[in-house]
Order: sequence, then C-alpha cells, then structure tokens
Amino acid sequence: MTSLAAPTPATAASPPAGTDAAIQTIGLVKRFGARTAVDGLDLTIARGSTYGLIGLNGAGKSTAIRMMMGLLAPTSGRILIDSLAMSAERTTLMGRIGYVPDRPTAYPWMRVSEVIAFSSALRPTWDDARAASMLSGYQLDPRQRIRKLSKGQGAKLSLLLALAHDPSILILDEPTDGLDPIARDDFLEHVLSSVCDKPRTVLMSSHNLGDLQRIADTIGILDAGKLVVQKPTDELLATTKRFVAVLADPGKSPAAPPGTICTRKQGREWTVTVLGSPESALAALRAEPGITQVELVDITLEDIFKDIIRGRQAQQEILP
Amino acid sequence: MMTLLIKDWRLQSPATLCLGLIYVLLPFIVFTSHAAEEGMQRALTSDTLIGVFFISAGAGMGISLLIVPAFGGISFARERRDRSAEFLASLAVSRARVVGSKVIVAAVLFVLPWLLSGVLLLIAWAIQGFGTEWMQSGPRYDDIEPFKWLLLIQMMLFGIAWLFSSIVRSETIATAGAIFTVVLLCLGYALYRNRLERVVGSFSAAEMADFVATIGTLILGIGGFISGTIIALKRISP
Repeated sequence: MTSLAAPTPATAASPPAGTDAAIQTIGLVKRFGARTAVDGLDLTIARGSTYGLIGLNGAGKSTAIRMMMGLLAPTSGRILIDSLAMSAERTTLMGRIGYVPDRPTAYPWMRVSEVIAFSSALRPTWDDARAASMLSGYQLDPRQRIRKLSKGQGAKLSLLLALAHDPSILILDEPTDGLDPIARDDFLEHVLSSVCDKPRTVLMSSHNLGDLQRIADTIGILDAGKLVVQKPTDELLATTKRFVAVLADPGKSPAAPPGTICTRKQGREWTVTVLGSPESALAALRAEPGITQVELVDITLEDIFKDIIRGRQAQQEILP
Repeated sequence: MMTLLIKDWRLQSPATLCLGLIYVLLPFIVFTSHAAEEGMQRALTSDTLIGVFFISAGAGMGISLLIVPAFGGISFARERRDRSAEFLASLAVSRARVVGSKVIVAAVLFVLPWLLSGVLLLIAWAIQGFGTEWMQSGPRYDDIEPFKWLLLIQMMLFGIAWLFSSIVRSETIATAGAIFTVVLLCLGYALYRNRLERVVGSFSAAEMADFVATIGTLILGIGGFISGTIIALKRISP
C-alpha cells in the first residue's frame, strides 16, 4: 500500500538551450466552470522529437491537445506552434499539423474516397500519390462508408488524413484506445514509418504506456492539469528505480532516501521507488540500520507512471 | 469553396429530398383524391388540372413550413453532433469560409419551396393559357397577403432554427425548438388580435398589431439568422 511520498519528484524541465521548439505552451489554463482541467501548463516539445503525454483519465491531456489544435479556447495562457500564436494563425498552422483524434471525426455519411477527395481539396499541400499509396498500404476500401469502418480501419483512415499533406507536426490524441493488440501494433508501425520517412515532431497521448515507451523519446506526465514530469524517456527509465528492501522490524518504517516518489510496505518487504540518483538512494538504503537486505528492480514506464501518481495521491492525502 | 458547398448541400440532402418528394407527389395526391370524389372522367378536365396544380403549390408552401426550419436546424448542429465540425476545424480552412458556405446553401434552400411552388403555378397557368384576366389585371393585395405571411413565418422559423443550430448539438432540438417557439408566438398573437377585434372592438388597433407583427416577425427571422451566423463565426470550439 502506498504510504508516503517525498516532495514532487521533478518539475517540467525546460528544453536544452538553443532547442528549436515546435510546440510550446506558456501558462496554459483551461477552466470549465469551477473545475480546472489544465492548470498553468508550460510544455515545450522540441522539433523532431516524439513526445508522449500521459496521465490518468481527466488529467487534462485531451483538453491540452484540443487547445493546441485550436479546437478549444484557453482560459488563459499562450500556445505557440512553430513560434506562431495558435490564437492568431490557426488556419496557417492547420496546414502544418496532422491531427489524429481518438475516433474518426470525418463525415460518417461519406465514403473513404469522398473524405480523401474532400480533404485534398482543402489542403493545399495534399499529396495524391502519397494518399493513394497509404490507402492501399492500410488496406482500406475506398467505397466503404466512414460509419461502417472498424475501429482499426477508422484509426488508419485518420492517420492517412493526417499525413497525406505531409505535415511537420503530428498530434495524436489517444489514437490506439479501443484497438486490439494487432491493430494497435499495426497503427504504431505506420506512425513510426511516417516519422522515418521524414523528420516530424510527434505529440501522442495514450493510456497504452508500452506503446509510448516504444516510440516516444520524451515523456510528459500530467496530473490534475499540471505537468509533473518532463524527461527524455531513456533518462526517465535510467534514473527511476525501484528498490525492494527487507526490514529487520516490520513495525518500524525507515527513512525514505532522497528522491523517493512512492513507498509501499507489505509485512517485512518495503518497496521504494526513487527518481533522481539511484546510486545515492541505494547507498542511503544500505546505510539504514533497520534494513537487512536491498535489491534493485528494473521497472517499466507504466510502473514509473503508477508510482508517481500514487505518490502524489498519497502526498495529497497526508496534507491537511 | 465548391467543395464546402457540395458538402453542405449533401448535409442537407435528406430534408431537400423530402421537400422534392412532397412537391412531386402532391399533384398526384390532390388529383387522386379529387378523382376518387368526382370520378376519373369528370376529373380529367383542364379546370380540374389547373385547380390541382394551384392547390398543390399552396399545400407545398404550407408543408414547407415544417421543412424550412429543418434546413436551419441541420446547418451547424449536425456537424457538432457528428464531431465532423472538429474534422473541418482541423483542416486548413477558415471559419469564415465554413460559415459562408452554409449561408449560401441556406439561402438556396430557403428559396427552394418558392421555386417549386412557382413551377407548379407556371404549369397551372400554362394549362389555363397565359394572358388571362388575372395576369392582365395583376394580383390583388388579398391574393398576395397569405404569401406575405407564409414568407414571414418561414423567415422566422428558419432564422430561429439557424440560431438554435449555432448553439445546440442536436438538429432535432434546433428544429423542434424553432417550430415550438413560432407556434407559441403565432398563438399568442392570434389570441391578442382576437381580443383587440372582439373585446376592444378596435380595427385600427388590430391593423396596427398586424403591422407590429410583420415587423416583429421580420426582426426575429433576420435577427435569428444574423445572430446565429455571428455565434458560428465567433465560436472557437467546433
């Protein structure tokens, strides 16, 4: 059971100096009545990076993405895409962005071929050859009505519509939700190949953290509308470690090492997740007199996410 | 722009098809009911056919009072309900073009019942022979007044449905809401006018009420249309 949490593990780190930001949000806030969905979001996504945005349901991921797409007006704050303000240059910016929503939003009464023709007429940089190649590659029937497409086919069509105009930025909002594992793998392969074809900035939110661990080079974790962690994926995985310690006296809780984000105790077994410097945490645990044995355990992005969120929830519980 | 116009026309196609079908079927229905009453031999006269087309033109205008608000109600609400407004917003197309296309299609659809009724009247006149007394002397005010009210009520229904469509997500609510509002307003006005004529006994006051009603109907129709257009243009969230 989660019992303790150290102070917030990390704050939203700024990109390295000189990095060219493709997407930047500055103090972005969205309120729906009394509820704050996005709370002062300062997000910077470097050009050419693949950014994974994760969070619980209602953490504000989709609201943030919808604001970045200009589909929702922020209560306050700014959104810059390619250094242009979304509020002023929406139509120009839409030409540079490909958007894949959680389910197809194209006209349900149109056929696949009609939606493609419709989009091509409204996208000046639409590439017919690319669209035709994707259509056959994705095995979509051009005569099929949109409302008759399966979830996997719908996701592929959304990806086709998002990529056929060759955008420099691709935004995907939980695109693999509800897809079976084969369709999900298939979809991710197409996303990856689109990035291999041409360097693009990708922002993807998902609940499938295994997918994000595979494709994202940077991870941002949103909780209650706030960005609580923003780190390169490799660094996050390398610096977040879980230690399983055996306690001499199960009644006593030893002091948590620096950088602890979550602890759990079951009998004599004490599990500690640390973000920061695992070496110093290990040294601190070994020096603890109440601990008889310490073991280092590798964890996945999903474990890291769960522990960060549980730690924050426990922290909120113990606050007055 | 043509792509958007075709899309908006197709978006309205169920209601347009329904209107077209009504206008095609009406002469047959009116003729059949007349023939059933009078017998086929007596019904097959030019006078009967003229009557059939005149009645169909009028009945079509009456029925269109239920379809015109659907044209307004579908405009924005269906796109939001289907989330296709979100798809449209993610394309490189300005909101002014999106709304402009809807305004053009709406204008054409608004005129459609008048055109179809006009065609039926032309057929009737063609049977009657052009250059008849009515055409030579020109229409009297009494002939035109029902059409004036039809036009005004259609404008009011359409304008209010258009306004509701720019606010709500359901085309049914937008359409039904407009019909309900207009029925309430018409009932209220009829009761008020009746009171003026019978209780107060003042015909000049009743005439003044008619004038105010005409202006009020115009304001509601045009005002609803303009407000709906402004809301649709200003709305950021699709």
